[in-house]
Amino acid sequence: MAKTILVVDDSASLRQVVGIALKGAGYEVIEACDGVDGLAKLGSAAKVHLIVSDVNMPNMDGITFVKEVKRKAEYKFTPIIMLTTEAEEEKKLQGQAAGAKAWVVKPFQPQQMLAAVGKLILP
Amino acid sequence: MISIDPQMEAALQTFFEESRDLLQDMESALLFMEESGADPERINAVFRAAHTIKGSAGLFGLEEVVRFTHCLENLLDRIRAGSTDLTPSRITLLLSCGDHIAEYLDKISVGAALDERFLAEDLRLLTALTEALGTTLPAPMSASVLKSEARPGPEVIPPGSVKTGNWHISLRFGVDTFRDGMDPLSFLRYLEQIGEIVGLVTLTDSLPPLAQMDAESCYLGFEISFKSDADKSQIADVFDFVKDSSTVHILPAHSQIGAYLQLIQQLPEADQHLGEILVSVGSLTEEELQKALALQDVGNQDGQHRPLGAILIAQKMVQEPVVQGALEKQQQQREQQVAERQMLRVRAADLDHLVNLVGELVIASAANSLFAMQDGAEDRVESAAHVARLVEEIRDGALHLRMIDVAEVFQRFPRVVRDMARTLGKDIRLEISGEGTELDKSMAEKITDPLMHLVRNAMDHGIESAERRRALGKPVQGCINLHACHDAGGIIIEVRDDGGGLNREKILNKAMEKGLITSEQTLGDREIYALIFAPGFSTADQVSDISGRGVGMDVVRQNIEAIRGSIEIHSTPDVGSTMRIRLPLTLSIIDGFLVKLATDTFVIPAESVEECLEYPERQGVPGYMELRDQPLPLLHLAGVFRIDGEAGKRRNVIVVRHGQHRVGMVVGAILGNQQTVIKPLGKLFDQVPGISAVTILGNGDVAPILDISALIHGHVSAKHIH
Amino acid sequence: MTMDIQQEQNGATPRLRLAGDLDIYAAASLRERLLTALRQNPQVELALEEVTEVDGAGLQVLMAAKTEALRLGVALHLSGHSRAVLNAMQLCRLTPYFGDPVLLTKEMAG
Repeated sequence: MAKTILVVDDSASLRQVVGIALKGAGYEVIEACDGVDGLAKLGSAAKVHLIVSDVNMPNMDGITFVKEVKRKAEYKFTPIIMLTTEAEEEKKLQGQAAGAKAWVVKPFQPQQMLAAVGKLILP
Repeated sequence: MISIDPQMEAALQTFFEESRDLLQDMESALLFMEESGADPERINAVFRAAHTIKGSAGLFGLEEVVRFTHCLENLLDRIRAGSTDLTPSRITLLLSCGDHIAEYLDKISVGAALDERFLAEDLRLLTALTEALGTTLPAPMSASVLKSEARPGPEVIPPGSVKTGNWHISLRFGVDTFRDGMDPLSFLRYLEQIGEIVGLVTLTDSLPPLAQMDAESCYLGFEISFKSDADKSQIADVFDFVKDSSTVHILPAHSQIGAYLQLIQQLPEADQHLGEILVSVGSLTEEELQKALALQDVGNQDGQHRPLGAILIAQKMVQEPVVQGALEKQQQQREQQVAERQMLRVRAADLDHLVNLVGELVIASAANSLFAMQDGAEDRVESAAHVARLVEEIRDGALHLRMIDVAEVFQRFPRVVRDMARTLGKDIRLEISGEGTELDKSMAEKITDPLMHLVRNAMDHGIESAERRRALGKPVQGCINLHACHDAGGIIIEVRDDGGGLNREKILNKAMEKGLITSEQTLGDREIYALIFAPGFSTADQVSDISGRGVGMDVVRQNIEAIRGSIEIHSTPDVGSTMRIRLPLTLSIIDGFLVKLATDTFVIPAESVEECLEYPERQGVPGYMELRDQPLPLLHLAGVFRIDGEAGKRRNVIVVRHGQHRVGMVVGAILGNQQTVIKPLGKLFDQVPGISAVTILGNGDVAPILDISALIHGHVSAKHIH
Repeated sequence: MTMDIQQEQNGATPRLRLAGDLDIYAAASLRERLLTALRQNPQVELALEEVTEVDGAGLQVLMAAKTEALRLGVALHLSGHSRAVLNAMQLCRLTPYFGDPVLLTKEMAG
């Protein structure tokens, strides 16, 4: 059964491209536009095996989102990939402290995302 | 550069749309801060816009956009961190950067080349950005050269090195690996994708007894002999996510025996035991192991070994205490907001097609009802009525899909007003109210230009000079107000200014000069103001750069009337003017009120119908009837359209209103309400005054739709002027 | 899929039937069940036909259980290895460690 990945980013086009790449590699993809939406999607999804989340988002930022995910018994051990930029070393560290131990630096190519996901889960 | 994959193409379109929205948000935030000072939330919004565009542009390989937004993001990051101030000149710079990115995207979306002017602007802005950052201009992006580890040639094995041509990888995963969401098995599987695991031993040394183990802690370690053409950095990259919390050693092929010795000493397991593991993995031969162990002074090493557990405990990160009680309450509200914000992007053409089909469905349903009624069978009539009700709901739903918030129309104006105020050297602020009022998207597109013209006009001619305002005791800062609201089946959009008002005498003189009126005519204020909409009328003393470009208010009026709207002016000297635009809710379907003139059917837009009366055969004053003690002017439609009346037959009066005006239209029989789909007039009807469009009735007949505005104004004006 | 553990009797041998994902989320409860079973019985069978996923945490519990069984002198048998179980064991070269006969069905091999 294909593994499901939740992609949380306020950019619809980013979600779209990442979605195309991940689906092409055999993953199922669920999209969410910010942290609040992400939590809602986690609540309604049957199972999410990996989460990709942006740091900078309106409504609920990535750090808060990661902390919230880590509070959920059913998702506290689920791998989280944080999307950061070089300019945001501090955010990356905050994200890691919150529990997102994997990261991809923006801007990235779809293959880079696939590589990061591939280290954590198989399709 | 851009993939031709249709899915990617669609994603790219999303990117263009989303970037335009983000740039708009960025502009609004910057303009707000220019007015009210910097605030962290808006600075963050601006940063996020640049950040998001950069991130997505990278995904599409739009390197130029990435490079530009990268510089912009750096400056914004400084501003966000408070190390650089958001000065007015920086706001102007940031606004220009936003414009520049928009232009980038426009050019990319149509595949246009980046011309010299554009590149000059690019350089200018980048220079300004880097100056603001206090750095030098970055070198143009070049493909980063990957430093590849020198791969040992298989034929020349330096003396003292081990025989194996494979990499050796030692892994001791951190105790929190599982809790961090990482799975050692996944890393191994990934490793298999870049090479071959020739030998592997899973270490059980640090695995505690079942009774003592914490099942969520990780005790796994691996020794791996790995055959791969990958270089060291590629192999190291596999374990990038765990490199801080785990121990990873990578030895290249044919490493010196000393390197293995060092490895054996560094790892927590007993040296002899580990050495045997390396042999069983295939990284060392028995002979090499013996040589290595002979090299070391075993006695000194043992004491230095720290048990793995100790290291792991030292590395264990303390979980942040979770104190988030207050968040819970906000949660529910937020979830609701999310539901409301979730949108689906739909192609405008698809939507138009749907609305068109619904239009046809409305006609078909009307025909269906008609036939059912002719048929007379009760259940058929009933079911036809049911279908008609559903079709009506579908129509409303479909039309609603086309509705956008007037705020989307207004959002362009803060920038326009700001830039133009600077050009004019006037201090003018813009107030916007009535956001949330919805209007048809195609109408929104068509109303923007006329509004723009009215706003420019109000700023240029309406708002007085600072000296004049001071002399009048008015605040020096002028004010333009854009307002929208719903009104009886339509939408009203107003452009108000607190300027000098329209000059009645000047307009009259000009109109006489142009031969638009004669000196004998006595006109009310509103008629006089309406004169500025006459073709070629312009009162500007001097043709200014901004509004006096020959295309005058007549074009504004034409544009508004083209979407079945109307405009009227209210003005008070030295207090200000209001341009009130009245628009229908939608352009494609109206509720029609069907009436008969002799044998022909005409449609009156139901939204303008106030009431229906019997035609009084005796009237006090000819051309008027009395309606609740008020005289109501009458308009004989049969006369207007030169239809031979059926004198003697019963006639009716339909009271219609347009703006402030009310007229009784004299018609024959009243057929009642019916939904009508507006079809544009063919060439044939184009010149018929008083008819705005036609519709096709359920029985297939073509019926003209009356242009109430034209009829009333033609009528009322005529009454007054003669 | 969340792990489900059913206990049944195979003659005198209690059989723990694992179904679902043998992962970090299931590891703690599996450890409890195995510890209890190993302490109360001279032999225990672990039926793995319905295991859908195995991660390092799940594998590690099985490894610790095997060691514990050896220490207690309990015969712990793993049976009906599902494809996921086999994949994990083969990746870590652990099939000999458990020492159980492994049946490769056609479906699993494919």
